[in-house]
Amino acid sequence: MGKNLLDIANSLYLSDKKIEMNKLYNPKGLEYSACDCGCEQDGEGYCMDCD
Amino acid sequence: MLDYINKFNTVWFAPTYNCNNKCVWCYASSNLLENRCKSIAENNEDKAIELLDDLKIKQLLLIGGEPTLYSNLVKLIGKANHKGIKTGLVTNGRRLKDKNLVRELKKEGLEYLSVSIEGYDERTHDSITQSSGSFLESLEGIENSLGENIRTSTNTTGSSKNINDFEKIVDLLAQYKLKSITFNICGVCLGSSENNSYTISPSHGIKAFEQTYKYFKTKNKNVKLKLISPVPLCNLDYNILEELKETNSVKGTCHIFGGRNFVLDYNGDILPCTHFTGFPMFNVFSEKGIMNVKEFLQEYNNPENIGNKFRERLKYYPSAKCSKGCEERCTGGCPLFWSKYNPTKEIKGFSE
Repeated sequence: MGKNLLDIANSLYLSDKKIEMNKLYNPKGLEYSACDCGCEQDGEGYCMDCD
Repeated sequence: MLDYINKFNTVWFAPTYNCNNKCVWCYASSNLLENRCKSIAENNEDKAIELLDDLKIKQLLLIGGEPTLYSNLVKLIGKANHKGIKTGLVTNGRRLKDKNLVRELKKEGLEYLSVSIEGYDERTHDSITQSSGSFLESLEGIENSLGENIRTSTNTTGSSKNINDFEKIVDLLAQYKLKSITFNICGVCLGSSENNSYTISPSHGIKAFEQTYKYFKTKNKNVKLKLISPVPLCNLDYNILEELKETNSVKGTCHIFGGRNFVLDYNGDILPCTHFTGFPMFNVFSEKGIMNVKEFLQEYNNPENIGNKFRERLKYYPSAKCSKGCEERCTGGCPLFWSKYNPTKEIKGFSE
């Protein structure tokens, strides 16, 4: 009860190695796109433009 | 330090937590009766769409709960479409057995549908949804959606209840002209621990998907099989991983890291992803009405906001194996796996 987002993050098993954010650029140079097709319509598999 | 974000891609909008299924693992706790009366008020819906338009989001995915039970759904899709926002539905498809509803949704501009299919027959599907008749209605919904030429996919949540049925599920779904058949791995429900008895570990889910992929390839069907949960990619067979990447059939980074997608809940809560209902970054409504774009961006990017502290805290690899010579961008997959499973045991690592 009374838990918040930070409590959740703090309760996860995570290592002490910081993520190299520059690795999260996709091949087309768009930063942090979760959609590998590079269309930027990212979001858990529901890319409406690309197939 | 987080990047300043003023450009957004996907927004998931849960206008209601009402649902006509009671999936045993529901991460949104819509299987609990007390959550089923939660819906956005129509005047707030108007304001929310205005804000999303002002934020220039690219696509709006209606989720829930079951979005087709939201009384104003058709008008909502029309409003979003009128503003140039593409819309999709993540639905159990049951109400789409009504051809008129499907026709209206199409007419108002619905572009895409993902229908949840949890089993390969009435017995297996209905035992997960705990709703008799749901299987046949969902299949009818798929047929009606395809009949209206709406791009349609299915999604199956891999849980301990159906993990051995994936091949039979793809056999069933391959009969339809779907855009894709997708699988995700049942994640933890943060709101109701009773729903967590059916989760499977990411390694278990990946193995089941991999076997299904190999099986599916022998069938030579003209439909894509996708794994949509962000997973540790090193756990996949190298050749399969390369094929999946080539066809955009496996996810890269969890979108929370980028922060360009968010969830708008029925009550105005802004969430990092759909699993976090009840754990908001902030809320857009106040007695004055709704935040304007400037206020939204200020709060969204405020380093003192709990959402940003949360995202900052996530920026650690789950396993030291992820930081040793790995070139993938998965960052170990969905961080919520690691609320239940030990990443040191689960993540294979490429160096091994």
